[in-house]
Amino acid sequence: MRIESFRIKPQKTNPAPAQSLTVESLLIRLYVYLLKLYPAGFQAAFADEMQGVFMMTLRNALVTGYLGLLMIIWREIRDLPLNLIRARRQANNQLPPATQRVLRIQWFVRIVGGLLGLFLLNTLTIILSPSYNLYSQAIPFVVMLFLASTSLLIALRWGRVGGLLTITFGIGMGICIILYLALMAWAEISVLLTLFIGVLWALPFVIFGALFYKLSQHPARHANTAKHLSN
Amino acid sequence: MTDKQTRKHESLPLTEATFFILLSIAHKPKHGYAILKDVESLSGGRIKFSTGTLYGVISRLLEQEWIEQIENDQPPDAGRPRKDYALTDRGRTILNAEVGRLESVLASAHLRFGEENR
Repeated sequence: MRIESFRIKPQKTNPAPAQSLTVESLLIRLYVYLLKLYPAGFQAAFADEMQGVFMMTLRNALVTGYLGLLMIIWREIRDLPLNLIRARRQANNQLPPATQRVLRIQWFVRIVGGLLGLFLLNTLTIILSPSYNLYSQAIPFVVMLFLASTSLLIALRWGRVGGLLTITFGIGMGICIILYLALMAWAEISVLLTLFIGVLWALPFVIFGALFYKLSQHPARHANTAKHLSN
Repeated sequence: MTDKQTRKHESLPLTEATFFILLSIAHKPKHGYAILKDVESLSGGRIKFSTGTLYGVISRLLEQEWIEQIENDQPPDAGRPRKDYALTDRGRTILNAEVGRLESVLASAHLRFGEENR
């Protein structure tokens, strides 16, 4: 007797729901990361609700299709910078004037320090390009310049550690430039001028490193969080 | 002009976003998503908030005490307790003042157009 082999024909399933679920969960995860950019008080008050509303909006859009979904993502991204600025300004307005002043200084130092770090790293790419004839004696200075510039960028996020590193590498860089000038034995440059050039290179890093360190220890840094917790 | 009137006057005109949010919760308290959808429908699909914009305005209105947060009795959505937003007396006064202002603006426009058509 011949046994008829048969296979259960797999039912055609629509892959869209599973795919949508992945897209949805991925977008929600990304949205949660974006919410972390808001001030602590705002996050504590609204992040959970915002996530819920975003989830419902996504589900609604997925029913209509991917165009609706793209529109939602576009709207969120388009409005995000302005919403962040407004939320930060609103959070800062609730703080005492002295704290507001410190926060303004902190932002100024961050912006200028960050720009300085990026500018110097960009300068290094020019110095290290093959067309540039770099003396081997200058390599320690270049390394120190790289470390000090990177420390400035680290200080944007970790003020205390970044500040200390910036000061250290800044001083190191000043010493390296002094040694470099001395080793190259350019007789035209006096000892005083050599020292002056070394200090001139180190000074911005020492100033910004100290500012980052000092501001990271100021209680105003936690002002928004502290205010929310006290509420 | 009294102090209260001055404050009310300074708040006007309202931005479109603020006006529609206040209007949306004028009759009954609503949660965030309902406000989002209602504003879209009230404005004929012209205003579509991102969640960030919606909660930015809500946060400001709460701070100004034009709206208040009330706990919703309904079961939580996906483990999240829903919070409704309701208009306060101050918010209602402001909304009424804005509606009055818009009516007077519209009346002026109608008057001028009426004169021109005559």
